[in-house]
Amino acid sequence: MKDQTKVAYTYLSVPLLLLGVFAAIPIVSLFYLGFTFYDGISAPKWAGLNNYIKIFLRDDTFHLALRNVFFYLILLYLPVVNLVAFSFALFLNSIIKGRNFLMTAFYVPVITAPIAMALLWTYLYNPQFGLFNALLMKLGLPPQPWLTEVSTAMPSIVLMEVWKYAGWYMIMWFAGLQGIPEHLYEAARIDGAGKLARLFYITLPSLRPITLFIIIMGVIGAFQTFGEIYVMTFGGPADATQVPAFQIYIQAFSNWKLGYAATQSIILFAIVFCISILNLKFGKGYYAE
Amino acid sequence: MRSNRQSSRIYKLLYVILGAFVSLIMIFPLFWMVLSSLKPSNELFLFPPMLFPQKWYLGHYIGSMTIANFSRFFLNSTFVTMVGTTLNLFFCSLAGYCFARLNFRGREILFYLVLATIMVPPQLIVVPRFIVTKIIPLMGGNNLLGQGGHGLLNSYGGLIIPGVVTGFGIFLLRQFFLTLPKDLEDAARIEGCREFGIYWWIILPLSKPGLIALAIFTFQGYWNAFLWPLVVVQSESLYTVQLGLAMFRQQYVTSWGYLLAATTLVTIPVLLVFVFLQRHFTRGIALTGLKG
Repeated sequence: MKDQTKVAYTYLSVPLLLLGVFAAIPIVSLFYLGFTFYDGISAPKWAGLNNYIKIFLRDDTFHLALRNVFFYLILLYLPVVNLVAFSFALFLNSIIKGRNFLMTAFYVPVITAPIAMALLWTYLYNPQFGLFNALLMKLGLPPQPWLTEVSTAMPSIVLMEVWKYAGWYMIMWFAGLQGIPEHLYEAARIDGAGKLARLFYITLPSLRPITLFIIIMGVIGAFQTFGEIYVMTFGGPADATQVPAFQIYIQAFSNWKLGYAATQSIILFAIVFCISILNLKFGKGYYAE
Repeated sequence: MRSNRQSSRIYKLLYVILGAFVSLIMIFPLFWMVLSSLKPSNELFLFPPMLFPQKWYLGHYIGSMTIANFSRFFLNSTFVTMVGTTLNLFFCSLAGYCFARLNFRGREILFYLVLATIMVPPQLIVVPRFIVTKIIPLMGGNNLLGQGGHGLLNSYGGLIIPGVVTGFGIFLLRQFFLTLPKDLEDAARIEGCREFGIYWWIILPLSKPGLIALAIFTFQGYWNAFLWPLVVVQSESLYTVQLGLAMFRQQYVTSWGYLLAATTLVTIPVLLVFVFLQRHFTRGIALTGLKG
C-alpha cells in the first residue's frame, strides 16, 4: 500500500492543531491545574493536595450538588424519561401512518435551545401567573410552588428535562426496536406467546445492548446540567438545585478559583470516566460493527 | 365477542387519540410561548390566563429588537454560527477523509486520541479552555509567550474557533466516508488526481447526507451554546442570542414580554433547519447513536 504519510499530515495539520489546542491541551492541563491556586490573573501557585483535601472533606456544597445529580437526575429523571420514551417508541413501532409526523413532533423540544426553554418554563412555573398553576386550579387541584420551594424545585427541573429530552431517548429506543428481526416475533406468535410474553422474552432482551448505551449516555448527560440551573434557579432556593457543573462555573468565574474548579472538574471527570469504562467493557460484545 | 374489524377500528381510534395527545403535550409549551409573546404586558399576568391574546400585540418583538439590542445579538449569533458551521464542515471532512482513506503512519493512534477528546464532557474543560484562549500567542495583545493581553477572549474568534474542529465531527464523517465505494477514487487516483482533488471533487459531492447531519448538529451546537459564550464574552456588543435571553432574566425583575418574544425568535432558526432537513437528521442520529 502506498505510504501517504506526508500528504495526510499536510492536510491534517490545521484540524489537528485546532483540536489539540482547544480540546487536547485543556483536557491534559486540567490535571496540572488541579494542584494549583489560580485566579486567572496572577501566575498559578502550587497548592499540593490542598484542593483535593478541600473537595473531599470540606466542600459541602459540592457534595450536595453530587447528591442532587444522583438522586434527582439519575434515580428519578432517567427512569421516568426512559419509561415515557420507550412507551412512545413501542407505540411508534406499531404504527406506520403518521409515524414521521409524530416522531418529529416528539423530537421538537430536543432541538430547541436549552436556555430558551428553561426561560419559557420559568414563565410556565410562575406560581402567580404561570400556566401550570392556572391549569391545576382549573382542575380543582392545589397550586404548586414549583421552583420556589426547596422540596419542589429539583423535581420541577426534572419535569422540564423529561419534556425536553424524551424525544431524544425515544429516537434511540425506536432505532433499537427497528433492529429486532420480525421473524423472532413470528416464531413466538406461532408458539402461542401473547403480547406481554413477546415483550418480555423477545423485545426487552434484544434491546439489552442499546439499553446499556442509553443509560450510560443518560448518566453522562445528567452530569452536564448547567444552563437550566443558571437561568431558572441559580442553585437555589437554598442550594436545593445545586449541580456539579454549576458549582464548577461559580468557583471558576465567580470566585475566580480556577485551580479549585479544575479539581472539581477532575473529580467529575473521574466519575464519568469510570462509567464510560463500564460502558466499553460490557458493551464490547454487543455493538454491531 | 367483537369482530376483528370492529376491534381494530377501535384500536386505530385509540392510537390516533394517543398520538394527538402526546404531540399536544410536546408542542403545547412552544405554542403557548408564541401566543404569549403576542399579548400585551397586562395580559401576560392575567390569572387565570386566556389562551389567545385579547389584543394582538407586536410591541415585545419590536422592543426586544430595538431597545434591548436583540438585533445585534441576532447578528452575532448568525455570524458565529454560519462561519463556525462552514469551517467545521470543511476541516472535519478533510480530517475525516484522511483517516478514512489515506494510509499513513500513526493513523490508528491518532484516531484513538481524537476519539478520546469526545469522552470528556465539555463543561469540565471550560476552565482550562478559558485559560488557553486567554494565552494564545500573538492575539489580543499577547506576545509570543501569550502574556500581556487577553488572547482570543471577548472576540468573535474566541466564540468561533474552539468549536471549529471537534472529535465528534471527525468521527462522524470518517465513519460516513468508510461507507462510500472506492471505485471512483481509485479511478481518479490512477488518472493522477491529487488527494485534495479527490476529496473536493469526488468525496464531498457524494457525502451530502453525512455532511447535512453534521451541519445540523454543529449549527445547533453553535446557535444553542450558552456556557462557552458566557465564559468568553464580556462586552454586551458581542453577546450571542442565548446570552441576550439570559440577560432578560435579571435578579428581581424579569421582562417577560421581551423574553417571550426573543425566545420565540431564537427558537425559529433551529426549528426551520430541523424541519427542512429532518429526514437526514434521524438517519444521522442513528448513525452516531448506535455506532457509539
